[in-house]
Amino acid sequence: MLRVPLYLLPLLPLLGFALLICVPRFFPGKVGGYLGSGVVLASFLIAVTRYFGLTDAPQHETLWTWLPNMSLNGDGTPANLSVGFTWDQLSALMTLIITGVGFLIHVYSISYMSHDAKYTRFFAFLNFFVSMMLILVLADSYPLMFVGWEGVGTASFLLIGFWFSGRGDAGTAEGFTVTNAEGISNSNAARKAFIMNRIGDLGFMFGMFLLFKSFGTLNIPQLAERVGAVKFNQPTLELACLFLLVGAVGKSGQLPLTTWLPDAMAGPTPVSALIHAATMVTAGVYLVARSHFLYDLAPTASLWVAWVGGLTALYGALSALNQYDIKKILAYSTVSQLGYMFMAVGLHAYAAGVFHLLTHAFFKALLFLAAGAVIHALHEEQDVRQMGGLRRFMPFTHIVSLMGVLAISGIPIWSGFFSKDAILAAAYETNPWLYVIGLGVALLTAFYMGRWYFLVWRGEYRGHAHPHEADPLMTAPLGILAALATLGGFLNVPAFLGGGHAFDTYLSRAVPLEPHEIATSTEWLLTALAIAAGVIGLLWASAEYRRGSLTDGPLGAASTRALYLDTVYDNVISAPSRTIAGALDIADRGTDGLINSIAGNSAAPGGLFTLWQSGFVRAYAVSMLLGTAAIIGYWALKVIGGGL
Amino acid sequence: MVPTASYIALSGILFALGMIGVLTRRTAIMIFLSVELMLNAANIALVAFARAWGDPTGQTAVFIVMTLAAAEVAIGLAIIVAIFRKRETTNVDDLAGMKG
Repeated sequence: MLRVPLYLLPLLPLLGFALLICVPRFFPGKVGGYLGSGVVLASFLIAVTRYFGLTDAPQHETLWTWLPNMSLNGDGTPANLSVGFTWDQLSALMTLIITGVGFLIHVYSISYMSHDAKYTRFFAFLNFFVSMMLILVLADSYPLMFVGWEGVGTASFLLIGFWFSGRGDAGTAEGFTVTNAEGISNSNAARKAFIMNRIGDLGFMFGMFLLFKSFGTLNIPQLAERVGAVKFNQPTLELACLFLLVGAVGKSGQLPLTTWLPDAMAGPTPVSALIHAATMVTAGVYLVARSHFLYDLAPTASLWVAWVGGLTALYGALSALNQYDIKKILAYSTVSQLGYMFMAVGLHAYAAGVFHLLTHAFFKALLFLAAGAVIHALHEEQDVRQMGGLRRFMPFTHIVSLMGVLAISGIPIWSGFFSKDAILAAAYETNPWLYVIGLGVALLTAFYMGRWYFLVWRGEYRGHAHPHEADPLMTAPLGILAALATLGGFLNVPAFLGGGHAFDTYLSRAVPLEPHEIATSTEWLLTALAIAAGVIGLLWASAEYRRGSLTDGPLGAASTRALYLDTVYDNVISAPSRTIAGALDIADRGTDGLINSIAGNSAAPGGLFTLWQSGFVRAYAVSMLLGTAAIIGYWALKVIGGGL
Repeated sequence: MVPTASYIALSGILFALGMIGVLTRRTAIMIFLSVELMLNAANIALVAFARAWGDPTGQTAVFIVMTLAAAEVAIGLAIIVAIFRKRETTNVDDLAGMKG
């Protein structure tokens, strides 16, 4: 069977990016959107053909030598680090998610962004993102992964700050003012994301340095071999894993580097769906799963991963309880769900974590795109207090949103139920505290998603716009995602429910599977508890809604301001930095003043000499004559003197 | 035979005349002519000494000076023409743009 080379996967979107950014004149109107979607669809189709060519052993395709002498052979002689791609069950899954969900979101954007002045550039950036994300997941070495890692960070920066001068609409819609304040806030959100990611990137790099020092290679398959064969220093490995965790934490918006992710909602909604929910933010989970051979040997670092995940899940859920922005609720929910994934991979339940990554990509992309359709219909209104009763105006979007809410709340048959249940079972098995946190978060998740649903779709419409149903280019991706969010869970039905663990079996060829040792009766109990958490959460939201007190969620301002984490950072890090910067500024001005006064005073004597330069040719001729006469006179005297 | 001293005296007079011309004239063309006069004064001195010492080196030097002078004339006149086209004058006192 013909094997399409792997490099085409990232190359096609990169080509789309190059065309759209270099010669946008050739793609007037919506052509750019169709081209951008087309290349991603092409990548998706290639990924599908390659999916059917998957073998038990991972396939490596090396392209060219990249960093000479950046690797060591087993005996310590230098070797070259190559650019190469790996195709195994994990990277195949990620590629299918990125290109598949990515394609749907591209199609959605064709309509969503159609009024934007920077329409073509938007698709250029989206294509660039897809290309970099594919490099990230296909890379067979950490440095190449890091290239993609930085690339997606850049794409994220460009797209969060896409409306850096306010929204680029022609300004036709009512209640829609282009303000500079909005532009500044968007740019600040972009910078915040970039800077916080830098902290994580530094951790990633330190992790790479340590791994190279210990094992002499950064090629992932080689590293996996050597970890098994070479004697190494256990604390060094733990430290390397912790550094990689810092990188993962930065990219995935986990505690303590979480605050950029909610702010990233400043970007256009398809960006929030693609980058800040479905794909890029899961890169941290992917990194840990890809490095499973390291984390398997580093119990302490793994425990840290799990606890970071557990606490972030709780933090995100508590912060989501009382948000008023339709996207912010989903953003904190993303933080929380990513916490679940970290918890799973930290507990070495890689299959559960990656499965949740898959289902989360479906239902969270769905929810974000539905939120985008709502925002579009209400002329850029994002405050849930100005919504309500929209199910009458947008029946289709209402139904798909309901699917998304049921999926994320973990109601049986919807995908979130299966994936969340697997994570909770893994937590119960290894760490009861994390299980309790996970179960509590499941309850809170159902509540805040119920609150989201009731505030947006039920009751009476409280705003002043004239909502309308989205057009087919937007509803079609919503429908497909809703189907996936509903049925995706059946990929991995656990044994006690009569399933075959199809997904676990699939992934276990790339990532080892932890054997389950829970009794079937306990599993039934855990499942019942998880379902109960979801149902109680939704009923709680519904009861609050009936009492009319849903607008103000629990925890009040503490939740709205995300447990004051931003305030704490402002006071602990930003304020002292500003003070230090102010002091340095004064010192700098002093030094500058000193240097400038020295320079100014040096110029005065220099001014005397400029009189010499009269600009008159004949004056110069006189000086030349006098100079020549002086030299000749000197030599004449010397000769006469010598003669005497 | 004319004594060498006479040649040197002629050379000195011509050189002094040229120098005075360079210093007092204001037209670029005249300054240029005066410079040529100074060069040829030097040439006379070179030839005179070459004959006095019976050494052809001085004569060789004269040929070099003549060639260089020809080149200098070509470039110098071209510059003067260019300046005239631009400024409509060859009065060097008006061309004081390089004043510091």
